[in-house]
Amino acid sequence: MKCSDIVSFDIDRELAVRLGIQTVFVVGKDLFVFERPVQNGKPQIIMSDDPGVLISGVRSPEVLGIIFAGGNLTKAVLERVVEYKKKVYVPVGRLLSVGMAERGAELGRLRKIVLASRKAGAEVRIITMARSGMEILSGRQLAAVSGLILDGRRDFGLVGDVL
Amino acid sequence: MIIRQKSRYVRIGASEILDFSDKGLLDAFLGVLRVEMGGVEYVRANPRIVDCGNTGIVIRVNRGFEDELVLAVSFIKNVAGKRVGFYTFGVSGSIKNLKEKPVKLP
Repeated sequence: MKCSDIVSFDIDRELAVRLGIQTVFVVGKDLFVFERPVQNGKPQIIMSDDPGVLISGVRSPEVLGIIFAGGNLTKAVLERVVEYKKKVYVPVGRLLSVGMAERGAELGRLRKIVLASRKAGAEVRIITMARSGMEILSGRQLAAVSGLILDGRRDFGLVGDVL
Repeated sequence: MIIRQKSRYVRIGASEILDFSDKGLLDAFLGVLRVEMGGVEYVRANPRIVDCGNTGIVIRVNRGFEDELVLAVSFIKNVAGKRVGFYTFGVSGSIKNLKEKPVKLP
């Protein structure tokens, strides 16, 4: 199983390998996360709830994929993602850090994003976007979270190559 | 005929330096694990701490429940009033295979 992840802090590479994550990309170093596409020639991910911004972002060659910031899923965005061969990234950090009361709603939101994206034919990747060592997950944990999101069906395809 | 329950061993590490030899801390950890797994699932999985070291702990769990344990560990962010995250280094059928090996960088 090859596993990769995107994190938001400078992670110790040796620890990442020990956790079963072969490749780790650091936000701000290897790639960037923006709310709207920026023409700077660097690989970037667009994180927004606005379908218009996401569609314009997907058209940009520097954009690797998108993150749905809210629950505003539209068919047009997913069609563009498939057309331009981009990826849909699903950060699970919030799911793991919210209280039990909100966990069900967050899980439902993520499940909706994963299932709708897959139905449309888009590639989906689960990432942690961890801001500290406290939020980092091992490859096995990422696979277990994918099983939780997909209702028991653990899927290693969701934790594969992020780029 | 004696039916032996088969087990899986899960090696768990923490994001902060914790004194795993402290019994109070281990009890607090198992208490949080019980909450995250759910009472019934916890009893069926029957997790037991079999090894404590400076770098982490090894938990024995009934076979078939290792994924539930791994998932429950991912949700633990607070133990005994300390903010800490846990991650799994490996799952194996024998405790010998979980010993720390030198890391090969890709």
